[in-house]
Amino acid sequence: MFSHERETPRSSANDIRVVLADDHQLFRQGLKALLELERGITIVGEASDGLEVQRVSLEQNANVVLMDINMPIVDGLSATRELLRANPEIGVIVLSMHHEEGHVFQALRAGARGYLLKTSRVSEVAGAVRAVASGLSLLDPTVTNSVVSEFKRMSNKQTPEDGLGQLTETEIKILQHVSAGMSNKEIANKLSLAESTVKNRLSVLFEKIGVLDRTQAAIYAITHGIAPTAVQSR
Amino acid sequence: MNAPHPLARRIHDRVLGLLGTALVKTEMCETLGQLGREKEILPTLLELRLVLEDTVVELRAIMAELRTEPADEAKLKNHAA
Repeated sequence: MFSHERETPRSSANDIRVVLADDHQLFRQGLKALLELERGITIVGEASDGLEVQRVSLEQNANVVLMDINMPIVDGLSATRELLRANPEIGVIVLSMHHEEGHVFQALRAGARGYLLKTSRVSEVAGAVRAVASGLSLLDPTVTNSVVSEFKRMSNKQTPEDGLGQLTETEIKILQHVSAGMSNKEIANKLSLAESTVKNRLSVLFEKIGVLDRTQAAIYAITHGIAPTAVQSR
Repeated sequence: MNAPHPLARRIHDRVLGLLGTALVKTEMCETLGQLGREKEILPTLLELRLVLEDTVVELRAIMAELRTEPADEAKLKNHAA
């Protein structure tokens, strides 16, 4: 279907600056050609591996990066983590053929604000680019179900008030950093705590919110609106 | 997460990657038609054909590997006996 947002290509200073990262050149070419027909979107760079995407995105001052997961040198998830460490304002949308929930959770944990399957129409991709650029998050309907199921599973174990209300200010900060994909060491440095303290606090925190690991904790943070992406909404 | 089977990885990295590209190419043809840029449709269709040919080659190679795997296992069992 022809999107009403679509028109003759023309770029302006207010356009959303997008970088495409995918090791399939023909895929990139096709996606670029189609996205450039969308109003308000300009493709400012392309990358074929996870290292190049970090360099290009920072150099081109990208607003949104469309990131494949399987890429040479550095995979898309590690690239997302590193890129957001350098500039947390960039909105990363993972665009992948993987529909398994493990990949979705890993992407969210790495800090991605969107997850779309490559079977999406370009109008849907463009919609996600606009949503993420305006500070929102967006998941492909195909994968949303697994995230909702995980949320329900966690909610059944404990009501949000049970866990969230019990968290101290420091524990909330730790949870936010966990959801941003930071290691214990990095969190310790950030909060001026000993690494062992962070580890102990995490064990207590997991128990309070009723989760088993960092991935579940990150999902908890996202679904309860305390993840950095939600905090930093523009 | 468990490490994927090597063939599953190959199906994802190669076959699904190629099919993702094919989907974009079909959408390009559709859009070019809507924009009245018919002359660009034929080259895009040829690119689509090349992508699909690559997909067929990849699937045949995977099928060949799947056919040989049990035979190798049988050979190993006979050898052990």
